[in-house]
Amino acid sequence: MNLTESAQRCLRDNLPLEDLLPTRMPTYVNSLSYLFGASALSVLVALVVTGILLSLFGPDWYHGSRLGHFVNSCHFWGVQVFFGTLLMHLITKFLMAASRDGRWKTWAVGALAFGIAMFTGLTGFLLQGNWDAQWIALQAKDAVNALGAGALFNPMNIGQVLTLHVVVLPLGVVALVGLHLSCIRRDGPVKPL
Amino acid sequence: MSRHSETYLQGIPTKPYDLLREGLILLLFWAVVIGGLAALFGSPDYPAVRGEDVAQRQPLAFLKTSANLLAGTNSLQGYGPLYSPDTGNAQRFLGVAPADWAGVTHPIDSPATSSSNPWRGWPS
Repeated sequence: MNLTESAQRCLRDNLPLEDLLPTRMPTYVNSLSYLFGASALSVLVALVVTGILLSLFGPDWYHGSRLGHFVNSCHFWGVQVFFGTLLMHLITKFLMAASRDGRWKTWAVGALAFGIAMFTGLTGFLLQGNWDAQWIALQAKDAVNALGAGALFNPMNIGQVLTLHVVVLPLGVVALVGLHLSCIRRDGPVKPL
Repeated sequence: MSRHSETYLQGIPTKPYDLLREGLILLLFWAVVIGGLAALFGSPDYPAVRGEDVAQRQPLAFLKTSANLLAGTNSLQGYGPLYSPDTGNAQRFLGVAPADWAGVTHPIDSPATSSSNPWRGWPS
């Protein structure tokens, strides 16, 4: 069995370029409700860019630099807009019953990505290096310990929180979003009710 | 098109579409919105509180807490796993305390962390 040939066949059957980068769309795709997912994706790009800038200069940069504070504020507001658009995406797709016609996989992957994105948000708030971060860490530890996950994740361990927030969790979110988009492009936009 | 979408969208009228152009327009739009919100409202940054700050601003409260910590009577010292061995006080969820199963994985020396260490560096 040739693995490369199998991968080629799988991509050709499930995700050809015409689906990955479409130049035509069904005429029923003409509502604002189709824009929230793409908006969340655009904001995710902005979050990655501002996040890279913040990680280049370190988590304490923004406390003493005006430019750093502005970049941190962009990252902060990006998170608010990201979850706002994500919530609208979730509500509109729920009302459109978009899991029809075998699209449950798209929903499952999207829900998992949403969960990991929320955990990424929590680790981001823990990384602020200010009173808010101290308060959130001390409150969150009780919930984490009550769920039995304290031995794996300690909200007061800044080193663990930093590596999770800048490497592990973003990779998880980006990978799952990629899989979510592949499912969407493979199946095409769901027909209206 | 993929076999799946070709079957699903058979007979459905389509219109011209530019995915990358729409994506770039959205990215630019949200970048302006986010930049505007950041410039207008900034982000919260109330400074972190250190043991040293408490010792300097509220010395009596700090001394009282330190005395409790050194005597081993502060409530924080009996938190339970993962920080201290008092399993009876472990955090519970639906009556179960899973933190007990892992035991003390992050031991905290409360008298040193919260009382004696903040005094270091002070002029004698």
